[in-house]
Amino acid sequence: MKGAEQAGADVGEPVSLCSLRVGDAIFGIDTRQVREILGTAAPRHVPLAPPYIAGVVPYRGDVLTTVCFRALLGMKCWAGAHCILVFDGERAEERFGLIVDGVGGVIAVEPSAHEANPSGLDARSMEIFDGAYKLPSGLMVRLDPRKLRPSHLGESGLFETITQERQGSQL
Amino acid sequence: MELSPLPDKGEVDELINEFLAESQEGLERMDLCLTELERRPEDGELLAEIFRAVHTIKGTTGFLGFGRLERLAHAGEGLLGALRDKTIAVTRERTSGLLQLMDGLRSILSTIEIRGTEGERSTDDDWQLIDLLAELKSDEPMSAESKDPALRGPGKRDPNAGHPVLPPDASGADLATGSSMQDKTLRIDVDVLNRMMNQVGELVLTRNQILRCAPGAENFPALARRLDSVTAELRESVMRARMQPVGHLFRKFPRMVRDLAITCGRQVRIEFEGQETGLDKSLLEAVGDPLTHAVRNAVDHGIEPPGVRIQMGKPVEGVLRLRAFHQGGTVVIEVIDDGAGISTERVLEKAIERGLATPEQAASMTQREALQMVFLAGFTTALTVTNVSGRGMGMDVVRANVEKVGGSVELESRVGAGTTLRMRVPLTLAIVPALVVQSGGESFALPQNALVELAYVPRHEVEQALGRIGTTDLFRLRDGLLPLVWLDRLLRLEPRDNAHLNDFYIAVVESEGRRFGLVVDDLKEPQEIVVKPLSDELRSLGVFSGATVLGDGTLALILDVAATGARAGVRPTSDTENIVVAQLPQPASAQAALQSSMVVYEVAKRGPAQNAAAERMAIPMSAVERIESVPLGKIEHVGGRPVLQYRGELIPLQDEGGVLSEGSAAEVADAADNLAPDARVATVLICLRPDARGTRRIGVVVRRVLDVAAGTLLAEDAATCEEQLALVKDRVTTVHRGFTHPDDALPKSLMQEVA
Repeated sequence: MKGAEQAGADVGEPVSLCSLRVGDAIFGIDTRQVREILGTAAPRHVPLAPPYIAGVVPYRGDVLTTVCFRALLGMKCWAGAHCILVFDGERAEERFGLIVDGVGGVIAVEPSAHEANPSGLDARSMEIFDGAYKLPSGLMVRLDPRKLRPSHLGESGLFETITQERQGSQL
Repeated sequence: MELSPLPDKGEVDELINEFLAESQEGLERMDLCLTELERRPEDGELLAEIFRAVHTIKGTTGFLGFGRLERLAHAGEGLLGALRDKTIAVTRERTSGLLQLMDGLRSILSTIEIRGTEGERSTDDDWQLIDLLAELKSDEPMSAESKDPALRGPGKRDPNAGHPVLPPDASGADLATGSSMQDKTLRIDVDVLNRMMNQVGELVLTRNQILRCAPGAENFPALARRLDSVTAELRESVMRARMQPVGHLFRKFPRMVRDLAITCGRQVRIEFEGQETGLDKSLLEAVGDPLTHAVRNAVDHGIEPPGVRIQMGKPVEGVLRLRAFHQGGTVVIEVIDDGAGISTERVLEKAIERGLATPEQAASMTQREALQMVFLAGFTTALTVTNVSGRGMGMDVVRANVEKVGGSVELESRVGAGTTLRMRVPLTLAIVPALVVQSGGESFALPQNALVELAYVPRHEVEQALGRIGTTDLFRLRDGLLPLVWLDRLLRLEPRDNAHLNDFYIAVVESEGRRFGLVVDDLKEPQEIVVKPLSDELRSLGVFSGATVLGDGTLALILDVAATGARAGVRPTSDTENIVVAQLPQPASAQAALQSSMVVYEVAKRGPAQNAAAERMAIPMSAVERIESVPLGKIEHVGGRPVLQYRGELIPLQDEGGVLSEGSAAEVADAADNLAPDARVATVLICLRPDARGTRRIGVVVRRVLDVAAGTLLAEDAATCEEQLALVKDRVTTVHRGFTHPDDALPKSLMQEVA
């Protein structure tokens, strides 16, 4: 919420990124946007929900809808240990969780190192990635929680037919 | 509130909010008092109360710097002061003026609520109103009008006296939106709050003890019990704090009814009963609109114009009663009018015209069923029935709104005597009783209020119990066919292995007029569940209304029964019947005659062999008057034939199955010897049998009653021409002679198709 989109334009102030792992890939997300990180919580599968919805988990007396990031990447959902990043929306109902394989350390990067999505990207990647940081060790793709919000994913219409099997992690 | 430009806006906002909430309350009280005042103009207490309310508003506005509000309140106070001091008398136009003042105050208050300032756009109106109030105050001296209204000169406002000075719909809109601030605040008794605090203290203490508790400590069960009781008490207190008297909801009606009655040219008196009945705040808000609708309908369509009432010999003034009371975990709110009532004939006529029922269905409907047709969507969309027979406008919306919060609506009406609309709502929404069911390996919660009954279908009866017409699975439930919805298929869950070889359960559910059987793999325990809302995306799937955490910590989704039925293509009941009937191979009327409800019973074994099977027989349900248990000692014999003295009448008994003779032999043997003859009983069906001289009452002795089921009469077979046969639950059953007409039987050619 707090100006992630302007982050690229900011000069000076280093941005702290929370790194997260899915399979072999590492992604970064602005720490200011993350409300909380939960451990493994076996989401309850919701029948008829779009494939990128992993299910619901209890969260602070409420029910949190979770998005499976693996599904968005076209990978099989992961049955083992995972982490859930909780993001706030502008309204309480927009709060949601993102399921990733694991969360790594926090790194500080210069905003100037950010580069927008290249034009050659496929439509789905365009939709979920938010450019990348050029780091000495390589590229780190940035994520924007607003793009990963279930309502936004639903509107894009690109993820309704991800082919992947329903399996263990949801039971 | 980001609206206020003031620097210390937090503090001021709080003051303003408090002021708004208080003023709204004051205005509502005024509303009540003013309409009351019209009936009891001499009541000084009422005037004093109104005066106080206006005075309070004036005082606070001055302090907060709302000049416009202050000026208006001041003018009103002047008039009220004069009225209170009896220097002038209460007249209709003065009351109207005061009501106008209230609307003025209310509109300024809502401007303040929305914009943070009182606005200046309509100061002219204010002056007009202030002038009017001043005029009313000085207009006529007391003596001229209070002593004898007839002598009063034709004052310039007289033509207005019978009409509302303000447009009625404007006042309605104000009433609807005017109290939003108040909706956010709640008054709680300090005692209740203190009690809650004590309970929270106890909860913290218990938690501390549990935290310090070593794993496997001895006192753990005791602590857990304590935690349980503290939680229950706390829950109870919070629930009680949320309870608001229904009277809050009733407050706005006297004014509304007054304005509405004047607009519609009716004379209506409104009465309340059970205003103190408590209802959860959220539910109170939910039933507000349906109730307003119902009241509006009652005045507009229920109560007749004075002329008609006089013709009918009723008092000119119609009475509208709002009544609230508790009944078994629900709150019942009734809107009762003594108006024209609803003519069921007209309702049915209209229903047939609109294709909501077939003439055959209409003919077989009870009055109650017919009245419920009013609630069907599509019944009332156009010009329809409203002007002719009474109700109509959007009753389906009323029902939908009430059912949304887990309630129900019904109508009772007698032509010429009036109509009662009854709403039944649960006490609270947050916690609902539910049944946890399992399907495809997942748990779902089924709200109890939608649950009608449960049926278990064992593996070996699956074939018999289920039928199929087209693509619809049907379940034979007693004498009806119930559409089935397989939950696992509907939700695309993984079906159990060999699903067809397993037994299953059918939860018969009904919501928003849809009645169907939900097939699930297993039933788990009934629970009180705490409803948690789902995110918008998941709610929009339209099958789940929420989620809940079960006792074992896992989440279960709560099924929205009506939406599930709709998704599965189940139509509201009347439609469904249409379909089933239409798809059967004969015209509906023929089918209705052939399919009749039968009492199936067992008679004694026939024939000498011990292994002879007990035979099933049936009697048409319509012929059976009562089923009685008669002690064997009471059965007497006349000329070798058994008779029974029944309610001062001697009726012959038929014992074709030989139950009595068997009873005297076998039962004596196995029923303990020490039983007195009176303790052994026979079951007797008291039946009415058509006879040459009318109908006669006879008793049929049976071994036991097995079932009541739909049966199809078969043509007499050449081989068994003596016996009338019927197909009941797919089994050939002998029908007791003398109760059926041969014409009823199904010709053989048709029988093939039915079977």
